[in-house]
Amino acid sequence: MSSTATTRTATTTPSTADSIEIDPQSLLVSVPAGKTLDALETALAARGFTLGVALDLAGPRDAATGSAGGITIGDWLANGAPGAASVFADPADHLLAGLEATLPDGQRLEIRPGPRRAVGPDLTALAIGTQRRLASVELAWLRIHRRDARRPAMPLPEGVDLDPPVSAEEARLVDAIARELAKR
Amino acid sequence: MPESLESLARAFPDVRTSEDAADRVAYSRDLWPRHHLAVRAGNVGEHRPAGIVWPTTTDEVSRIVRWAHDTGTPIVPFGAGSGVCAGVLPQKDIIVLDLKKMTKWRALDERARTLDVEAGQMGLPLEEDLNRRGFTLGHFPSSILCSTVGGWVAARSAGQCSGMYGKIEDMVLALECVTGTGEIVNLRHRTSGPNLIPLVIGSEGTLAIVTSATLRLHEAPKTRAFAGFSFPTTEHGWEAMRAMFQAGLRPAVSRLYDPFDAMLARRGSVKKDGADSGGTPGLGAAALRSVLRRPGAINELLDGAFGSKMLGGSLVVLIFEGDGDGPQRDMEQARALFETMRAKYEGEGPARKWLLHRYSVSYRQAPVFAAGLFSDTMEVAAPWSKLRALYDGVRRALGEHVFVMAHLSHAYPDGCCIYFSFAGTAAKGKDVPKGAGWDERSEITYDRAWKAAMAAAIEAGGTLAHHHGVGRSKAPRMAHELGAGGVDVVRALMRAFDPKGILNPGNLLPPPSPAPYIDDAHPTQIREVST
Repeated sequence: MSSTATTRTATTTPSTADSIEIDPQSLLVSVPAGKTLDALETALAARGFTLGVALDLAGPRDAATGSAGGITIGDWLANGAPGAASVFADPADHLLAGLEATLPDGQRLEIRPGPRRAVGPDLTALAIGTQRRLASVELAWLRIHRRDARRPAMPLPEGVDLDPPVSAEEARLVDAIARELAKR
Repeated sequence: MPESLESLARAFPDVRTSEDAADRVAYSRDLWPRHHLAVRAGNVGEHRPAGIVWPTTTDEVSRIVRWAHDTGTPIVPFGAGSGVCAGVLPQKDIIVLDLKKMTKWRALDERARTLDVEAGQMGLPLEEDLNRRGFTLGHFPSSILCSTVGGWVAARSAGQCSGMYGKIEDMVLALECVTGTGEIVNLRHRTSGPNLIPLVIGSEGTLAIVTSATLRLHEAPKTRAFAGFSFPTTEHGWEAMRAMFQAGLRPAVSRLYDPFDAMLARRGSVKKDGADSGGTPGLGAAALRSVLRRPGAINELLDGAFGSKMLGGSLVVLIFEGDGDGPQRDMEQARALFETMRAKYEGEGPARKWLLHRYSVSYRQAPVFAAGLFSDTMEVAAPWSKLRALYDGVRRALGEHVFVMAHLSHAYPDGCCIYFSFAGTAAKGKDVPKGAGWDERSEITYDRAWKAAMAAAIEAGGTLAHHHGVGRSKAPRMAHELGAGGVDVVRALMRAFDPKGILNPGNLLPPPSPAPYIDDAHPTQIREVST
């Protein structure tokens, strides 16, 4: 990955505000970007749900408490949501159903939660794994699971590289997108 | 020869091009039903391109796009032309770039179960060739006989087995494409860095021309389990589907038909040999035209409790597939769940029959148009918590203007797609222009129905399209779908990928001001972009 493609522009300050909103019918939760993963998981567990993320893989442990999942939702998504199941494991499911984000020029982007859509480019891709260069998540609609529910799994065979290095032409495109988003 | 094509032919003497009138008519549209109304009215090939070019390699695509970039010539990439949203609408200065000469399998990795295949590969031969090697892609759009890999990617296609294998965006590991500058870029799926593939999928030829895709494969299923279940109402049916998906069951096929659609499925309007019975569902064209003049009353009658009871309730068709007894065990679990939710088991018949005739429905449209009517479909989606509002809102909005029925055939743990099918006839009344002909009045009904339905979908918190895409038919509504910020972002993406705006201009988003588009009407949009 080129250095320009990875430059982190900010981090999300952790917040203890319990402002999550659960849609139990749709198994979705809306969570502010400042909430930490373990705080979200604790809140979900109290209601019989889980995010289904391997917290140990999600990011560095909380410096103060040493707990896994101390990373904020905003930072976690900016890093590409490590610890979440591969998108290929259950093709009928997905992690991020919608979001509210701030763009490089300060404008807001809102993608309403939806199971799937075909309305042009999937703009949530601007916010996942891009280290906030293209969009910074303020609020995310994430898929949750009942703690006792079966989790289907159709993993890809071992050896399929799901994390290849960013090529020069991809990095150029990311730079071009960042430039265009910033100058609107 | 049009100037742009002459210049192209001179620059690439070894690449096949055509300015033939028949070719230009053939490439002047996709299968947007509103085009069919225009054709029926005698306006054949109103939007003819300057010509068509058939590259055979990515390098040729790149050189052609670079030439187009340098000369400012707009290009429309073309697969099999089966889109239904006016994603293809050329003008006389546009070159159509048909990718169907690019059909090679570049790399089949049987161990990793991936296939790198060129964008012009047609759907059905791809699946059949994979089956012969023991694999399946798991992608079965109704258009599989007349659509390409590149078209699937461009429009964010969904197949009949999305419940198990996902949509096309869930199958793509890598894309090779050519941007608007002619640069060849290879985009890879990536979990801990930028992943640009989701931006190109669904961009409908406006960001880049997809030349090949690396797709995930699965072992071809060895066993299947079939079942049909009836429910008192459509809502009972979708609540059962929700429970099934949220319990972790993943049927390859799960289709819920509303009572009228279920009645057609039970009666079987498709012949045993697979041929369509033709015409419209058991009624004469004249009688149907008469009935469709009062769609509101009919819709109200059939959609109510009385109609549901009279028609035998809704119908869910399930097919699980896989290996060994896994599908049967999953079916037993689904059946146990359904039977706690007022389901009545109807045996394997409905599901087996559906599988036998899975592609027949696409061939029912032509007789409808031939009878002087029109038909179309609208596929909206929402989280489960908004599904009732979406179903009621869109159904009511459409039902004011056309006869409407629905089925739900793409379900997920967090929501579902509703697929409305509708048929209508010529508008009448004081507000219809005097002297307007039958087809012009049919266009009025068509536009009124779409306008009302799209507004209702947004109002209910749904999305305008689940798998047909946007094209030019929904472009004027994209600001309602994405917000002003989202539309600006898409424009920024277009500038980043295609600085001169030569790739399928006017598609996906209405052009910036001054625009030939008006907010939400089709006729002005179409006629004013025609030159």
